[in-house]
Amino acid sequence: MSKILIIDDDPVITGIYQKQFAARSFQVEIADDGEKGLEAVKRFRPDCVLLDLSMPNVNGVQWLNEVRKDERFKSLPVVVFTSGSVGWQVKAVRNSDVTYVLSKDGTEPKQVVNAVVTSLETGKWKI
Amino acid sequence: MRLQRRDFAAIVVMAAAYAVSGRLGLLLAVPPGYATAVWPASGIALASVLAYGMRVWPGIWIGSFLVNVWTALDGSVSGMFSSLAIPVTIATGATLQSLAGASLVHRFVGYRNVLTQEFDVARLLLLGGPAACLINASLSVAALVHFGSVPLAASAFNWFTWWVGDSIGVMVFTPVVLVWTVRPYSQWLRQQLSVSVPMVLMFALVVSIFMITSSRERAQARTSFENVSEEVDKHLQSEIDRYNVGLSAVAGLFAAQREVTPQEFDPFAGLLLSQLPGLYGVSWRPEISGAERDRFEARMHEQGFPAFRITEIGPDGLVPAARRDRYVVTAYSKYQEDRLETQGLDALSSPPRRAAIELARETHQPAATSLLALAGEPAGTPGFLAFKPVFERGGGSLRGYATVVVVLNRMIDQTLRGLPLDGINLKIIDESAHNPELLYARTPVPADASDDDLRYRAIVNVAQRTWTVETTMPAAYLVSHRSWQAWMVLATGLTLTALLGVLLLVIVGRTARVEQVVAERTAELTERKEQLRRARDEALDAARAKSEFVANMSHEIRTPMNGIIGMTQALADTPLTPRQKEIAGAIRFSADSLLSIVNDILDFSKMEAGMMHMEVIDIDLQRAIERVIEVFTERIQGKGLEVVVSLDPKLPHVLRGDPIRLNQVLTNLVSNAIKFTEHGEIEISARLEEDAERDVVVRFAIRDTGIGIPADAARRLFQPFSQADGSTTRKYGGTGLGLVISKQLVELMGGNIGVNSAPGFGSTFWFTVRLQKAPGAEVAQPPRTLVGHRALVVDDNETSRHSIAEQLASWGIAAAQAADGEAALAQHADVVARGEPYEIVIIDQQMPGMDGVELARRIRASAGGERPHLLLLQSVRGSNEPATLRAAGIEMLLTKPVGMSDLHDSLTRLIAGEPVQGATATAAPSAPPPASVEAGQPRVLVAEDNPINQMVARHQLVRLGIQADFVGNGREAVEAVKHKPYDLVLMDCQMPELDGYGATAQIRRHEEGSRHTWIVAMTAHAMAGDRERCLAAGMDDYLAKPIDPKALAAAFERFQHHGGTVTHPDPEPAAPAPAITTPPVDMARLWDAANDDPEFVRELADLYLEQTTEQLKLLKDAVAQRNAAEIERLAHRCKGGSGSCGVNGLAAMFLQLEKMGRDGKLDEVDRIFAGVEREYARVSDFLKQPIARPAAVQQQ
Repeated sequence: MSKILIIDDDPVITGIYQKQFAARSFQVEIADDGEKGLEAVKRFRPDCVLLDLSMPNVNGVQWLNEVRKDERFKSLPVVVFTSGSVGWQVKAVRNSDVTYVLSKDGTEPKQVVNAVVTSLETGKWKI
Repeated sequence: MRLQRRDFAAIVVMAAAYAVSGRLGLLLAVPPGYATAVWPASGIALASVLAYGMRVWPGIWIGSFLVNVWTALDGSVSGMFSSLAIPVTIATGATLQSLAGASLVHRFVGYRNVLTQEFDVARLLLLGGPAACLINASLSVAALVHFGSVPLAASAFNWFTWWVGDSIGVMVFTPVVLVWTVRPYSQWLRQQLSVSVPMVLMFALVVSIFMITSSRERAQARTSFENVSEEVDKHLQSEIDRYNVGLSAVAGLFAAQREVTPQEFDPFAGLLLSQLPGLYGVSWRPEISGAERDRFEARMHEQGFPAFRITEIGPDGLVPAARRDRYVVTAYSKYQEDRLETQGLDALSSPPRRAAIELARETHQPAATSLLALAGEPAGTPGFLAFKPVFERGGGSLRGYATVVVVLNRMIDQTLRGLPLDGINLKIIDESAHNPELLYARTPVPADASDDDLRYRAIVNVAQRTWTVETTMPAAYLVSHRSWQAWMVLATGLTLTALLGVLLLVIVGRTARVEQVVAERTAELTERKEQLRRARDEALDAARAKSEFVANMSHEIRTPMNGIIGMTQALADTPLTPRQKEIAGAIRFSADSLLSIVNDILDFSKMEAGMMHMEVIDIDLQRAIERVIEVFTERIQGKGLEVVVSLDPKLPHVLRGDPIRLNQVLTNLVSNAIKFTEHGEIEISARLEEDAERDVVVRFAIRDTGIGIPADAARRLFQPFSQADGSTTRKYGGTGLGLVISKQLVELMGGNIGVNSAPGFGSTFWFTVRLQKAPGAEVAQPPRTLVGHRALVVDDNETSRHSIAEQLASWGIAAAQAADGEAALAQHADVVARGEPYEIVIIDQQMPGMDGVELARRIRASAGGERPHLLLLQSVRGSNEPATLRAAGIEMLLTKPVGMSDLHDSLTRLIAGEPVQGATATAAPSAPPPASVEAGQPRVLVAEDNPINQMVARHQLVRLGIQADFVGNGREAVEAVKHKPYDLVLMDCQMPELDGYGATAQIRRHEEGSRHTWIVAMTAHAMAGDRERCLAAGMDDYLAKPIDPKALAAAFERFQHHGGTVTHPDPEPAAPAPAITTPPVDMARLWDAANDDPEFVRELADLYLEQTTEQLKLLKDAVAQRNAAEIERLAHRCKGGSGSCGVNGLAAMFLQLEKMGRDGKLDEVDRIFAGVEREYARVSDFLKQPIARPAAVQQQ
């Protein structure tokens, strides 16, 4: 049973995806900001992370940079799920090897789930 | 004529200039004498008359008079003027000469317009110089001769030098003065230095050479004169020495022997006489005391001279000498043949002789007498005697005197014989006497003594007398016999100076003339250029006008065409009998053909006018090709052709260029391929030909299996109005401009176009275009979710099969191929046995033997556990019943030609396990895009004045599922927008009252940025720049008339893609009955988010409302505090939740707020936030209701 960590400060989003993943028999953990996300990734050891970028305390970009410093999480698949308008942040994560960047504006829940599933299958690395 | 002050000044200046230059000219006169080779005054006088007019004549007269009087008075030229009439005459001559010269110039040259032509210059100088100068030379020399200042014999010489001097003066100085005084001619002033400086330098050089030559000449004359004089002196001295020797010899004879007999004396004396031609006589004169007189006379008698007696010269001849205590008596003598008997004569009786004898006796040296008239000489020939005393041996008493008598003239003549004495006067003066006595004068050159004479003096001693020998060469002789070298140098040099002047004037004149001509030509050229420019402008205007005309015509044609095509479409949508359908189809076909012809002509004329402009925007090559194929889908299916697309995997996904023009070329070539191909296939390929740093060259090829083209016709294909065969036009239609336009377009895109073809073997049209690389294009690639899957492609058409397999491979799918159903089944069984079954099987429907549906059924039947996804490629839409397909297990149906992006989407969806509604989820290109109505009905206003076009638009919109309001002009459109919040306005650009541009501007002003109605221009004015003009007017999109239904659908897609979700921020929709009511929440989306779980939908809705209520409180505070960063953050967050829950209207408003926060533009933030609150109230009301599952949700 794969473990998914959702890091997002919006309970609506986390609510939706907790439901979506749970319905597909994933084990889901929620962190509602980046700081908690850093703690959760070490404790929960997820197989894949669904990451928002725009968050209080530690934002998504900072979270990624921090996590990638840790040998254990070098190849952890991360799907960025954020609002499309934050262009600079999207650019910033392009260099930090994430599997997908999905926009909250247009992406349907099924596509988000599919992206996470694909990431689990193919690993962090985009092929 | 009154004498003006200016005239007076001119006269004074003229006089002074004449006098001074005259004096300067005299300095150049060749000394001795006054032959001057240049008389600058004459040149200055002529120039002055030319420059200032005849009125300066008194100045010339006065100047000339003054210089001549001045010269006469200071005596530098002596004896010149014996009368005042001479300077008067000369002055008159000079004046007349200048006036005459000026007249000649005026008459024969035409002064004031001269000196630009060499002939003019030459004539000026010759007429003013040698011709006019005859006057003064003749007049003045005549006067000089008349008044005796110049001898008649010298008149020719004087005339000549006068004439030459004046002429050279004119030729040298007239140009120099003219260039400085002729003010009206600016070109002259500019060239003053270039004429006068070289001439003055040349003049100075000539004068210097002249001075040197002249002084050398003088020195030479002096040296030669002195040489001759020295020679004279030397000869005289040596002659005198010879006489001395003769005298000594006689003395020696008597000193040697006590007694000398006459017989001994006579031959000796004879010898001497014969040797010395000037010797008159030789004698022995013993001294006898008074006591010895008788005895001596007796002894002389004894010696054979019986008549001998001592005599003296009395008044009447010789008389016996008086008794004195001493006598010096001629004892022996011998004379020339004309001798006179002087034997016995007592020399002491003659005082001059006695003086010499006494001097000789005292000094014991020979002594000569002064000049005497020699005794006995017939004409009293002047001569002198020299006495040498002879003493007894041993210093004893005086015995007597040896004597020589010399005829002076003879001696001198003898001396001078053979010497070059031309021009030399000679004087010999005896300085010994109390008064110097002129002994001899030779004056072949009669002349007054002058300072210029050459003189030489030498002293000759003649037996204790001092003679001065003086040679003179008089100046007059030098003048008449001098070398003309210096004068020739001067005259030649000055002539050369004059020629230099002519040359310079000609060059200057030429330059001036050339400059003038150049200036004229330049002016002409400028004028010509101006004319050309005007002509060009007119031509361009004409071309523009023509282009405008064509554009307008095309507009005029397009408007009714829009009606025809649109209404035909509308007609075709009504129930029709087959016959009526056929007719409607024919109308549609004809209208389409006509429209394409109009488009061709428009494009062609645009390109002819150079008005085709290329855009540079993103192009998705794959989409671009697919769009072209979509257009022809029906025709391809109708003919049963296979269309294969083959894209080079190396090609960048996105490039930049002009997609419309690329589409035009592709469309043209594909259209041709379809037109001329009855059976077989068409392959469209794109290859990367060149990969540069910033751009790439893409080679497109459209290969068909059609009728082909003969080689000679292929060459003419791309030339205007020359289709392969005139009959082709008739058979296949078209203007034949398509390929010409394609060629020009391709060239504009930096490429080439060509064709390879042979009749019967099909054709391959190819072209290359240079496209820019899009920055960051690679990252735009979609996620590759297909990697690693296994697929089988079954198709009997090899090209199509390979192409699809290749494409699958490029997506990371392992694709096997099978050419027919049997082979496919075999391969399928094989892989199932190996435990690696295909996940996807793509099947062509039309195959020989087993068809696609049959194959699908058998695969489904044969398969165990894992069933592959089955995808069917149909050639003709609607040829299969959905039920049949479902029964066969076919999950997806695609229509050939298959767009690769459609294929990719379909495969992604199949693999993701998304529910696919039977076989309807196809990428059928002509189906109305469902996306356009997905998010609720947008409110659409159509502003269009043409009722037929209104009908067309209404019909087309209904096909898209959209109800729209219509207005007839721009003013009504503005009013409508004010009263009802339209989401999208289709705006015709040409409308009465207020056109589309103006209406858009008013709408934008009204909106004030608070909202943004999406305005799409509709224009038949399909000229370049039209699109820019529409966008500049504030419109968002652009459609060319006639409106293509697909283009309209695409415009709606763009509208939604640009965040144009349907929004209703207006507080109270003013329109009483909105055409479409939109729920504030996209229920399908909400249910989707809730994973179709009815409980969770409720939960999610509550969660959303709770969250948003909370966030809105914070947002309200942030808005109140104008905290831009906080507004941005909160709006961003709310937007995410809203979007995810399908609360699209609110999400769009949050987006606006977020933007405002980011940009710090908070002017409108209150208004928008108020809208948010109102919309949120609506959402809240809506979500608090029971949440129904939408009926349409399964249709996604």
